[in-house]
Amino acid sequence: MTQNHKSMLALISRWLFTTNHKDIGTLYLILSGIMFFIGGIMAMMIRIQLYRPGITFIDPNFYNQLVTLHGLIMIFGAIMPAFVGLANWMIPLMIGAPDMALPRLNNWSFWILPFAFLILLSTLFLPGAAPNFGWTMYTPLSTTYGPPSTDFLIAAIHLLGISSIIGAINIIATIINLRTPSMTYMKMPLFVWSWFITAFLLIIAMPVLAGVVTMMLFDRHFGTSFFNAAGGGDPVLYQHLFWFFGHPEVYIMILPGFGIISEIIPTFSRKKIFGYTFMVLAIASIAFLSFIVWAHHMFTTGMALSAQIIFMYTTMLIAVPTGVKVFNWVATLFRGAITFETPMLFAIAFVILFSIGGFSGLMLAVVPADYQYQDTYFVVAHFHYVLVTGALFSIMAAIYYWLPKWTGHYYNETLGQLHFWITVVAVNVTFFPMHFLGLAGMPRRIADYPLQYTDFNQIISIGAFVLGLAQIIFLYNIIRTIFYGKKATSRVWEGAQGLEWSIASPAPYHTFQT
Amino acid sequence: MQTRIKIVVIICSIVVMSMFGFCFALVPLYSTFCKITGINTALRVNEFESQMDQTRTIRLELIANNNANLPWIFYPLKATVLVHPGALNKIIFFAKNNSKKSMTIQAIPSFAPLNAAYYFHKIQCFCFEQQTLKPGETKYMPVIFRIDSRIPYDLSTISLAYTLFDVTQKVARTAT
Amino acid sequence: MDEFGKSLKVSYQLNLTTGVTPLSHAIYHLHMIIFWICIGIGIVVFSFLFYAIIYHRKSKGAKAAQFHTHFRLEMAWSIIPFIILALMAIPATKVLIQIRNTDKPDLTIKITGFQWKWKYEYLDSGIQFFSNTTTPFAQIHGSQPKDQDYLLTVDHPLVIPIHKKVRFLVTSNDVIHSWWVPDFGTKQDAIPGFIIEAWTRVNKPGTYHGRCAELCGMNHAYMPIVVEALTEKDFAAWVIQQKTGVAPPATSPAVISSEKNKALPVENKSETTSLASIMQKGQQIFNTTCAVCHQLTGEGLPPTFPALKGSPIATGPVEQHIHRVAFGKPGTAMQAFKDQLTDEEIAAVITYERNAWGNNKGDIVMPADVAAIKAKG
Ligand SMILES: [Cu+2]
Repeated sequence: MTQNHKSMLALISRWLFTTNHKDIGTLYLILSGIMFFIGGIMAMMIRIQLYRPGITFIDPNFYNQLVTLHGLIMIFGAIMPAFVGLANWMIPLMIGAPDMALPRLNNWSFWILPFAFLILLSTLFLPGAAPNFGWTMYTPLSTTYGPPSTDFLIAAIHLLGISSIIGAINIIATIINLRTPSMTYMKMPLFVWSWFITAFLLIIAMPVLAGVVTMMLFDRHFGTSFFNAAGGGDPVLYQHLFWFFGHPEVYIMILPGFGIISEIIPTFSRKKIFGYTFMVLAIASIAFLSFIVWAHHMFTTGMALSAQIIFMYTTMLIAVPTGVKVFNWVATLFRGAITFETPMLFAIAFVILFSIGGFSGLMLAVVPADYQYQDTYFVVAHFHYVLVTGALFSIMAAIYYWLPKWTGHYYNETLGQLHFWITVVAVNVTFFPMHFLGLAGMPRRIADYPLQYTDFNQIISIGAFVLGLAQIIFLYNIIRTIFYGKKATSRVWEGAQGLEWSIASPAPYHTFQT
Repeated sequence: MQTRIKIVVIICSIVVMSMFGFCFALVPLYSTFCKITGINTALRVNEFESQMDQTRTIRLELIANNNANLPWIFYPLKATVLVHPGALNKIIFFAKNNSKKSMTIQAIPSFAPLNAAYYFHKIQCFCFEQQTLKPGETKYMPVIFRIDSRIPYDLSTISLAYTLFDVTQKVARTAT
Repeated sequence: MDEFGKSLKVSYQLNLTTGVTPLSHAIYHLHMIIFWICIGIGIVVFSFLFYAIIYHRKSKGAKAAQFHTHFRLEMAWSIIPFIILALMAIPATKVLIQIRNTDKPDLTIKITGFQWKWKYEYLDSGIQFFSNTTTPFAQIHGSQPKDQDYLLTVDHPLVIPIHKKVRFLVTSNDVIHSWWVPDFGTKQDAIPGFIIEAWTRVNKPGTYHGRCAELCGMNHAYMPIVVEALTEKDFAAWVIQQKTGVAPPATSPAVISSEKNKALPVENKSETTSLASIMQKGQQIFNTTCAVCHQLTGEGLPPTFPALKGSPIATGPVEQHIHRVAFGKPGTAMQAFKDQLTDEEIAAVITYERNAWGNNKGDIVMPADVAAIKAKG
């Protein structure tokens, strides 16, 4: 009994106090997985409500809370921690570093997160309502009209911000200082490059989010009028500040994905990445442009004509470096010797489906057309193509790709392929009809709708459930791989290049020690 | 090596701090920007061109809004006035506190089209100060203004709206 | 689908509406141009991609080539998209300038977003009225089959003339809303404290539908927009009817600022005498006007929307209750209903609230009581 007790304590303290980058990477990925399923359950509830017109399942107030929390959980809980987890696991292995540069801080930046999400999710159980104004938290709906739980949300966002910033500084310090001597900047794997640039986006954008929610807090409780017209403030200023953070945030959620795809496609094409230099430059220019396009989220607020024109041009410009990335991936595939293991399937689906998200993004950039698209399901379709078939697919591809390195076992390929095919069909059944709904005039974030939208909503809801259930296969396959499965070689994949494949599988607890 | 990491951490922290500060700095920057483009400001400044231009007439529409169901009666005495650029004009709004308690309001002006504000010079306005009315009290509130004669020709109709916001509680809070 | 009553009119609308205004036409064409550009680029890129994954498979004996950079090719596919975009920007900018045109309008209407309804004020003629959803609570909650026009109807639609430049000044009473009618190509956020311009010129008479497009709180889905575009002659007649207070046969009359409440005739004098019939009328009004917040059960959704069941207001002095309904509670979602409902209706709904859900006060509120309290202010 005491023996059990002791080993239990040892286990807890190992994970609680660990400073090992692999442990912390694993923790991030586990947290991300949990949040992914919580956010997914919220999405399912939303889809049950929208399956038929009328209030059939949840009342509109709770619906708004679900919409808000689904967004926040998926962005800050599922996508971002997954990328940080991958960075923790792989960046030291890819650049030949023994660990992250700041191991102690690394531990803190992770352990802040569970508390942040406990606070965030506790709002569901507080008297009154959980935050019910959308993840964008537009004022005055979130200030003057916000429920008391909004203050908990602000606290949670501060914690999330601190965690992200510490994580980003750690990544920057690691990449700058701990590269193995022969690895110059222009020899770094593209995943490392993409995270390097993402980390800079994080330290520039996250403080702005912290600032803007601080102002919200002040407006709510300390009588300031940053966003309150009564005191000479302006609700539109909130939107400017929020999207000044929000647009870089969008790229924070996709650039590491670009990096992952740029690792996987060469491996399974058995060919070097095409146009390495252009790929690096493209990421850098996307990152730069992300700071001068924010107002394209607010084209219908009545801003000055000149501002609309400038932001339309800068936004359209983003298509150029994004196009370069897609063209270069296709050129990498071209005349390769391609095989289709699960990571590669997800990577190819990423290239195609992310491009569709990119196309709708280009359409949204055209201001006059945006007058019709803004705040409709067309926008919902757009960002789910970018974030689900973009960011999430890249994360799934990365997990299949590196799982043998982490666990020492190959995952079950049949299950992997099954998971892929169900997911890729379901994701399109779910999100493609949203384009039609938006064009036909269905606004986003509505709990109920006129009868003419019923058919597509039913198709979407069915697709969403298949999509959600398919992820159980994914979960099962991962857990199974941890314990069973064919032993993985250190190279794992025939075409794999790079330092991370030179060490044993599973990766030993300590690597590249000097 | 340890010092090199420290340098990176210090530089990054400076970036973080300054971006946090920058966010707050954007507030005054934004209001400067708004002054230039004429969004949400009680313009009192600017040198302006007061050469009277009898050949042009601008239609000024006056609009009164109550925010958050404010229990006041509030309307302009004349809904539309015709003014010459450069000429001195006076318009009057009527306000009555229809509630059972003393209330303080702040009036916020807004122009359509946006850039009209740039040419609209207020000499006196009830929006410069907060207005307190006792229950049932009424008040005629004037605005004395001039329109810059350099106003572009395509601005032939201007709408000027005043929205009354209840600031009673806010005033009480700062008083204590 | 018998739940929806009459067989559901299936609408698989896939594309944007062309609409009925010059702006909506221009936007539609722009939308199609950019759409075909995307399709074109997509076909080229995906052809190469699919060619590669079909013919360059290892299982087909493909051997990987060695090339991994080609400067000129990469420059080409950076510059060509740039040129396409620059060409695209020209028509887009032109249409945008047209959207923001500020030429002299023929008619100006102020649109105010409320939680959760619209108010329309015709600045030229002084006509003003609220526009509420008329979809019954029972249909929303599924205890009654849904009509074909579920969530598409309002009590007082916005009425505008065709072939005239109608300018909208959009603002809000509380939070940000967005006034959107797809057929007009007009979408404008309504922001408290600001008036923002938009315009339209409809070229076909008809009834057009829209919705609030910006999340504005609980009943965001329940603030539909209906616009009736009439010929000039019909519009002139409508204006006269509104001003003289003679109800047009089709729609119930709107409230005119100068003569509030004179418009609605009492439907049936003898019927309003029994408590049961007053209760019935009150319940009707309550269910369409009040229940979205206070709920059918009167239990509300505290703390934002307080319960009426056993509440101090609904069981306390009747004067306070009337005052609350007539003048609202500033700063909350509780609005002043004195201009939105007639004295008759307010009396009925208060009677209902004081006798329903076990409140059993036994009061019957008279329209005259309401009028007296409204007069006192
Ligand atoms: Cu609304």
